[in-house]
Amino acid sequence: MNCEEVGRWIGPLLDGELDVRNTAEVQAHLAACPACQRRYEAQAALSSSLRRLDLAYAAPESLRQRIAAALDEPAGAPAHLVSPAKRTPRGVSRWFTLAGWPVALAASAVAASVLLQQRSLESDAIVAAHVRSLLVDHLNDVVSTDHHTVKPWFAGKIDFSPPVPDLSSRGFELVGGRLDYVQRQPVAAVIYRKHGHIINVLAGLPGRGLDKLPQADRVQGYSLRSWRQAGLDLVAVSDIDPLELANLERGYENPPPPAGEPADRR
Amino acid sequence: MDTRAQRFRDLIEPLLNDAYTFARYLSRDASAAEDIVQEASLRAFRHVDSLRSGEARAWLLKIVRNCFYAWREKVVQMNLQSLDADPLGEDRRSISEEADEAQLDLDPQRILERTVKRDAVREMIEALPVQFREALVLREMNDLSYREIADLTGMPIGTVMSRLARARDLLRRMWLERAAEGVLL
Repeated sequence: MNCEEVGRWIGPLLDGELDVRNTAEVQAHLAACPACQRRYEAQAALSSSLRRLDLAYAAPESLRQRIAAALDEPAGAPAHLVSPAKRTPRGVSRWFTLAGWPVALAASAVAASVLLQQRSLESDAIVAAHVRSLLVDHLNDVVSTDHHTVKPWFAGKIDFSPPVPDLSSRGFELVGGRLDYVQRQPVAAVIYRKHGHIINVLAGLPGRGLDKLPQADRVQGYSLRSWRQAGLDLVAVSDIDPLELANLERGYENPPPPAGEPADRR
Repeated sequence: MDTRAQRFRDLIEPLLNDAYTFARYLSRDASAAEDIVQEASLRAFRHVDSLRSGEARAWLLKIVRNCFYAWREKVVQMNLQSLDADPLGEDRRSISEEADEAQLDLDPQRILERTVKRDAVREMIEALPVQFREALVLREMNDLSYREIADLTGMPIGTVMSRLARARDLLRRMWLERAAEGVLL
């Protein structure tokens, strides 16, 4: 073994990764070569300094509490537990600045995980988007019960205009809107509420992560319903009864004429 | 459900320090690290059924890594902060102080020296390019084997070896520079 080879094996030797035969050869070389011996000692000093300094971090107690709180929620019905208004403002600014990344993250983390069944990948990402929107104080970026406020809010933020129908006649109350990311693509999220259930309606251009969904799906207690409308892919997700999502879809496809317009007063 | 919660408590909770350490060095940001680990924990919880107990550490750290890269991509997209920004912030200082209060060695002078030195070394590690940084942290702080690091990062073992060597080389050079400035030893 020459000095160059030995130099390559010093790290693995110190890490206990070298097999017996190579260990013996490297050690024999070190014993005979002062220059390599010095390199070995320098590396050993660095390794032991790193260990002695105890450079690891302890997870903050606040993090442990956040995780415990998130996991304590009954699995089937997270929507009940998380009313954004009730949450402390602590994380708000942070989540506002990073709003949406958990969704991209959920999508790619799931995609990278060999543990997840392929079949429900897309649905899983949508459910993850929904759950995250409830958990992390970024349900709404624009809060308004007026679709004339919500719809224009998206202009300039995303390159299409999602439908924001008034569905109050069907019992769906408009809560607000938000930009989100699914499968690394921007989508518009419009949020409705009915009987305390939050419904996220995500809209995206074709080919932006929402187009591979089954028409109806159930994932971990959540219902999804997807359809195509006006050149956009839409998907509604909630823990509400699937029949209500069908009801919502009908509302989308047959929106009532906007209140206050002449057609209404005829 | 209960068994899942139980498995999470048994297998994942003991690894939160590992997860946070990895996320913290990768993101170089205390609050981002919390967010990353929280997200990773939720993911881990959902899939903990399929986890074999001997692999929990590498398995969790892989999820943390995925979460980190997603976060990083998002930050880049939103252009909110330069990834090369000075990582020193208030959060970091308070964490160091907290950690040091828990130390048994109560000699104030030694605590101070140790804190200064530790912060300086942490700063140097954070200055490493991300692919070297992650190899080094996984090896030195998370105690993973080369094989585990290779599986986790999707790199051949030879690449892991050379990245580790490079990381240590860069670190040693920075260390010598700082030592020459009188910061370390």
